[in-house]
Amino acid sequence: MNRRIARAATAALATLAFAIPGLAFAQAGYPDKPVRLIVPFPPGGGTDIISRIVADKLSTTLGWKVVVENKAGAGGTLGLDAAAKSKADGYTLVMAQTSNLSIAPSLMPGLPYDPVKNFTPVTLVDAAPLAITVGASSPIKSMADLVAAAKAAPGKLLFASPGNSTVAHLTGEYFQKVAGIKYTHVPYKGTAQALPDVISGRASFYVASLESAMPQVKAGQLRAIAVTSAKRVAQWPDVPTVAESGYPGFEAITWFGIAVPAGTPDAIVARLNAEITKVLAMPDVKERLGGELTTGPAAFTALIKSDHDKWAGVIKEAGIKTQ
Amino acid sequence: MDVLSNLALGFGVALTLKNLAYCFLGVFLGTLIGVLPGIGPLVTIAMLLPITFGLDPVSSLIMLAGIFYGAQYGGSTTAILVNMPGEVSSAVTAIDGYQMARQGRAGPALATAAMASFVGGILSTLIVAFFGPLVGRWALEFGAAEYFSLMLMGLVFSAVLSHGDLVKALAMVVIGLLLGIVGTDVTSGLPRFSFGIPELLDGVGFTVVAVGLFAVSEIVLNLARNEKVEVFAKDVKNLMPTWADMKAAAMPTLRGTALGSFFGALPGITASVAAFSAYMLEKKLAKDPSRFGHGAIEGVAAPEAANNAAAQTHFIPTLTLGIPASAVMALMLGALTMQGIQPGPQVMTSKPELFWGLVASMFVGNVLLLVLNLPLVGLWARLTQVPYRWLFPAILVFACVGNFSLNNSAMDVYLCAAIGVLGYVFAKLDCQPAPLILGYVLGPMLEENLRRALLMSDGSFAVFVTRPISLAFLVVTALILLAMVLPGLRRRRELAVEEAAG
Amino acid sequence: MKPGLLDNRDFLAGLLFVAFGAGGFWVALSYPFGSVQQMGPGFFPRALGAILVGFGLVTMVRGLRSGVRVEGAWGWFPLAMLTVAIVAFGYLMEHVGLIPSLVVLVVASAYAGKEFRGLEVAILAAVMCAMAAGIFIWGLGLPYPLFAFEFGR
Repeated sequence: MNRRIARAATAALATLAFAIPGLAFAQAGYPDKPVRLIVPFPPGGGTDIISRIVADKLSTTLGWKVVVENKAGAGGTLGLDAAAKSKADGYTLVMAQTSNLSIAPSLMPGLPYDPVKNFTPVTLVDAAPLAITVGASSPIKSMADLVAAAKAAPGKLLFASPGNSTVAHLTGEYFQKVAGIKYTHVPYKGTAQALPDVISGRASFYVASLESAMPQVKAGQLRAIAVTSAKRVAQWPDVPTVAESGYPGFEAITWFGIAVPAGTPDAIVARLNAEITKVLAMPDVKERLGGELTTGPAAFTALIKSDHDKWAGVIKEAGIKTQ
Repeated sequence: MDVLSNLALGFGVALTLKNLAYCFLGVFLGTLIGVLPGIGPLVTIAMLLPITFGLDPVSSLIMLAGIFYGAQYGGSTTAILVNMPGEVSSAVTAIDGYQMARQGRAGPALATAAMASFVGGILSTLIVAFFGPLVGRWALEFGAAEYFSLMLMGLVFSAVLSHGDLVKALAMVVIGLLLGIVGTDVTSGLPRFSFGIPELLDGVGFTVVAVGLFAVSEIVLNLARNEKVEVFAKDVKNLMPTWADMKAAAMPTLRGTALGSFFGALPGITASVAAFSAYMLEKKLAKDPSRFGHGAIEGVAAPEAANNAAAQTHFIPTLTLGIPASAVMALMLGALTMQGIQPGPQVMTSKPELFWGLVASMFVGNVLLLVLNLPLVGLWARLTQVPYRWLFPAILVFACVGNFSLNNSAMDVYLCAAIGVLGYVFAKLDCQPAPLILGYVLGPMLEENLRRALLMSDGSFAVFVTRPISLAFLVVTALILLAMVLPGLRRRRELAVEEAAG
Repeated sequence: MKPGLLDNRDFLAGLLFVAFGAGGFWVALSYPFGSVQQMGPGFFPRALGAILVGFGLVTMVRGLRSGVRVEGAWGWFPLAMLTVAIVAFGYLMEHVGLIPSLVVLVVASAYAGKEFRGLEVAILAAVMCAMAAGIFIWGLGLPYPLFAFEFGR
């Protein structure tokens, strides 16, 4: 008993000692100047909207001045690179996501940053599964139908995605591998032209973020045959997961999270994590982001690594060209 | 009629004092940012988005929409005054509008642009109101084959853009097509012509090309003139267009509206395509095409009507199908989603006050824009009387900050400088920039859709002729080609006959 | 009298087309060509490059025949000066903030003009700085520092 107390006390002391330099820093009034949140995509995209909600809430509730800076280009890697090269003083944050932290290393051999070494993850902000949808008049009603149709005519089904090397594209390739079938990938530039082709049946099925397919599914123009998360999603209780459609363990999600340059003082990372977690728990934010998950830096790091390994395997097997 | 009662409902929403105020705020902001190159509605709306959470959905949508179509008005102002297209779609307006300004007719050019935009906006809003759902369903019929045939038609038609040497104009189109290729290939994911520069993976931005090619090279041309000539005519004749001007602009405005409404309704097509098509059509129809490029008022009226009409019908796929037709529209859908409204076809029935309120606000907004812009014409026109040695550094300041703001990156500024040099050399060698811009705009769409159509048809070219809409475009294309080639053939035969006789 | 080759407008234009076409074709050689049915990323650029070379050759020959001169003198000085001004602006924006970049841009570009009056340029630079700061930073909220001396970034 005494030993346990002693051990706890030692641990507490150790933590305190470790935290003091950081605390002193934090108490010096962080943040005492504007904090910039680099968004590696142009204004208006999903990443940008999420970032602006978080920045806005941090500014209005805490009185911080969080400035969103869009630094788009090269699929988001330019923005991440700019963040990696910034001072690790807690005044530069970056809204990172699956493609930049977990996929880019396998696709771009000349990537100027190392997702693990150059960044300290702060917290996940949002994560969403993808939806597999077909046109409303399509004969395909389930994943089993999809697999049967692909087996009946190998390579003839047309798989539409919102772009090459996106998580949606890789998810389609991943399923092809898992199910042992073959279909033709048709990449689009975003959703503007992809949706008409899927709705009218010119493309056989579509893999894209839940959010982008939601309006059409609600309107009865598209039918969702599966979601790619491990569990069913709250919005669509009767849409099965791919895993329960006969492919246990199949999971593909896109996530967004805030990271800071490696070397940022631990106390600031902890402070950011605490404040952003509070923001994400606000009811109006919760409503706008699907967000049920908020995680500490450690779990975020683990996710970056496990997704990296998963997608690296898919990219290699599918023979997707590296740049 | 049903639409009328719905419109009445809509006006009831749009004409409340609060929504009128937001509509005014939107179009006012839109006009302002439209004047600045690089800073477009996309950036502005994105920055205003957090503020709109506090508003009710109808008001926020009315304001955001106002920014979008208001920017189309403002974009023509700098295009006409200083040859610097403020918005993507005003690049075409710069061709003849700037020449009018140099001849001392900046006032009539600006006023014509405002009035043509107004007519285009109002008529196309009527289309949205009466035929929205119908047009939306029809737009679904456009697949890769249709887009390819449509783009091909535009490209063949582009020959009329040339004033002067046809071969050189076509060569400029090809250079534009090559420039459009820069970046990551949509179909294969391979980067092309990026030379290891990561900023080039997304291609060269439109603003970069337009500002470099038009504004920067124009400044060098003016500074390099040996004799000391003022760039603009000293005497500003009249501010408002004459009766003859109005008559000349009337039909082009209507035709521009029709073309603009058509293109705007297609997802993925930009307003600049609409503006180009309208310009080319007018030049083809004109009795004396040689006036184009030298200050033809039709060349201002048609593209301005077209781009504003396209801005209104752009809402059709977005509102009736829930398909965002462009990045700005995606942002509007995002704004709705965050207001807790699921966008899509059901909005029209479940939230009629939202849909019809927005449609009614477009009428109101277009009226506000006209009222706002016409009095400004005099003020703007006076800008051409500012000594050029003050004016050109100011133009450069706005051009440079605008380009920098695109990606907050110096690379776009460097590229603009490089394209400026190229633009100057081209201008000295009498190569027109307009065909290059057209090739740059159409090229990526042409290639992407051709390759996608073939990918989906498993390599069979039959898709282009078995699908009726695609076939229709191809037939028209063939007719245009024939019409262009035939006179040449006849002339050659006549020559041969003469020689034989002589 | 026919102009020399370096003064022949269409000959030079054609030469430029040929250079662009050949350059594009050459770079595109490293991209997979595919086939007419399954076009690879190299198909379009190579086809376009070849077509451009063709147009270029035609234009060159026509230039030799017609012999139209380049109109007016080349403005190499203003061209170089403006290019330097713009490039300097881009570079400085990333390192020293908006105001110094604008001053350099305005002064350097004004120097490219024929009449350079010191006082006038100074006033112009000040006015432009105030306007740009007002519109872009205060009005539009663009995240640029007015002054920042960060060469190490």
